[in-house]
Formats: sequence, structure tokens, C-alpha cells
Amino acid sequence: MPEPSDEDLMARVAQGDRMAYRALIDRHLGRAVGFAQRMLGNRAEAEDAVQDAFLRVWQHGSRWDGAKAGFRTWFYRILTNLVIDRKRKPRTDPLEAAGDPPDPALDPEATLGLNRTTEAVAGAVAELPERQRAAILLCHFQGLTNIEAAASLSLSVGAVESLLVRARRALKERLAAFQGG
Amino acid sequence: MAPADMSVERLNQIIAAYGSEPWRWPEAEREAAQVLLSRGDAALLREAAAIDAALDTWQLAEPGADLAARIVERSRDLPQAGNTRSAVSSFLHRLFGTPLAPQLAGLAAALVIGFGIGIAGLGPSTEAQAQDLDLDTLILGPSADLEWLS
Repeated sequence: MPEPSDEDLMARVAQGDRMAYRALIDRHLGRAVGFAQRMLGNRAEAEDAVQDAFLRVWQHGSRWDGAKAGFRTWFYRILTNLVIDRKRKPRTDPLEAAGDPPDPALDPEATLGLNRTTEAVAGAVAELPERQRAAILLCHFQGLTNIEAAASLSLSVGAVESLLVRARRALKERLAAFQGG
Repeated sequence: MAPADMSVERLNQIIAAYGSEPWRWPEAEREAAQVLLSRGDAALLREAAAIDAALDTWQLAEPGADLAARIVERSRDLPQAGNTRSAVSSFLHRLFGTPLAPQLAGLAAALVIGFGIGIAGLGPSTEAQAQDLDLDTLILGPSADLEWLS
């Protein structure tokens, strides 16, 4: 039996079906927390933001119109707004932005190199302007299409593309400086 | 888009925006871009691949299973917009602290609606209007703090 689509689950969520709600959460939680953590640089705040986003899905599920936007687009629009609201409150912890360290079972030299690269990437992404950061995270890590990312950010596809070009250009310069330094 | 309709400049723009992996490129242009790839800027493609690889090193731990359970549990306090049964169920859950059987919540919802219609003095001819009543207001009163409902 094929897995129900997000849209099938959402139709059930709108009717108050908590099993469907849990299935939807299980399907998207990991990536959603990853997005929020990369945006906010803080795991606890990321989990709070994702919780808020899923609670809004529960409360306003009946208002979601699958003909207008897929679930992913709608969900990331909610989550992006919540994350940006939190980001605008004064709170940063760049050390946590790098996330958890790699598996210690890895080769120590490779681990050290990977750690340094990860920290450099996290730092470079953290320095991007908010919308560039959101665009690159939505497209690269969340796997949203350009159309989905544009809808999630309430921008045109062309504007998202422009953000991505600028974001990748800035990342290239910052990562080159890291490798050179 | 047919391959002949895409310029090398557009291919390079796609790589600069979406990176080196064709599955990330805009669906409508992907096929044409792949056909044109051998004529694109090889240095730009290498740079894009290096950025993709660097981004891919940034992996994070999965959240614990308790987070999903916490979210579902928290939702029991929150009514769903436009769902009368959910509003009553969450109100009673907040009141008594235990999940309410759906059938019982439905019965309670029917009772509350009936009570609300009686209080408002609405007859059968205004049934449609009765369905539009703000049930939360009926339950919590007009001065209740509704912030948690929105």
C-alpha cells in the first residue's frame, strides 16, 4: 500500500485526525529542525520554532488549500516566518551554529578537517543576509524547487534566483578566504 | 524548453544559482540545460560543485523522538479553526487534563451548540447563522483571552 501523500494527511489533519498529524510530523520534523537550526544557530530555539509551526498546522489545517500550495510550501512559509521573527530578537550563538560534531569513530585527521570545514560553512552561511540564507537553505538543504522556495519566501522565482546567486557568490568568497587563511 | 532555446549565458546563470547538480535546477529548463552542459563554463561548474560539497558537510543530528510526541500532546490544548468538535475537545482537555474520546467530544459539541443557540434565542429559520457562531466565544465568554486560539 503506497504511503499517503502530505496532501492526503493534511486532509485528515483538517478533520482532527491526530494519527495523520503525527505521521506528518514524523515525515518532516528532522528536516524542519535542520532548517530552523541552520537559520537560528541554536538547537533549542529551532525546536521551539518547529513546534510552533506544527501547532499552527494543526490549528489552521482547515485553511490550507492544496490547490494553491503544496504542504511543503505552506509549511516552510509558516516556519520561515516564525524563524525570521525569532531571528530578529537579539540572540546568537555562533558556536552552536556548527551543529553537533561528526561521528568520533571517523578518522581523527579527517574528523578535524571536517569539523573545520563545517564550522567554516556554518559561519559563512550565518553571515549571509537573512533572505539569502533562507533561500540557500530552502533550496540546498530542504530540497525545495525554485517555485516552492519562491512561494515560501513570498517572492518571485526571479528574486529567489537572484538571492541564490548572491548567496553562493558570498559563500565562495568566504570559503576561499577560510581555505587561504 | 527546447535545448536550442537556451543560451549558454542562461545555463551559467542556472549553475550560479542552483549549483552543479542538475536535479536542483528548474524543472522546466533542466533537460535543455543538461544538453547544453558541455558548452557551459567548466570553471563555474567546478566552483559550484565545490560549494555544494562544502554545504553537504554541514550535517546535523536528528531530533529526538520525544519532540514529535511533545508537539502532538501540546496540540491537544489547541482547537482547530472551523472544527467545533476540536474546540470542545481541547477546551475539555485543558479543563480536565486528559484526552477526550472523539465520540464524547462530538456529543459535548452538540450540547454546547444547542445551548448556545438557546441562549442566543435563535430559531430554526436562522440555523445557518447559528453555525457561524463563534463557539469559542460561547465557551470562554466574550472577554476571554483568545490569543492562544489564533
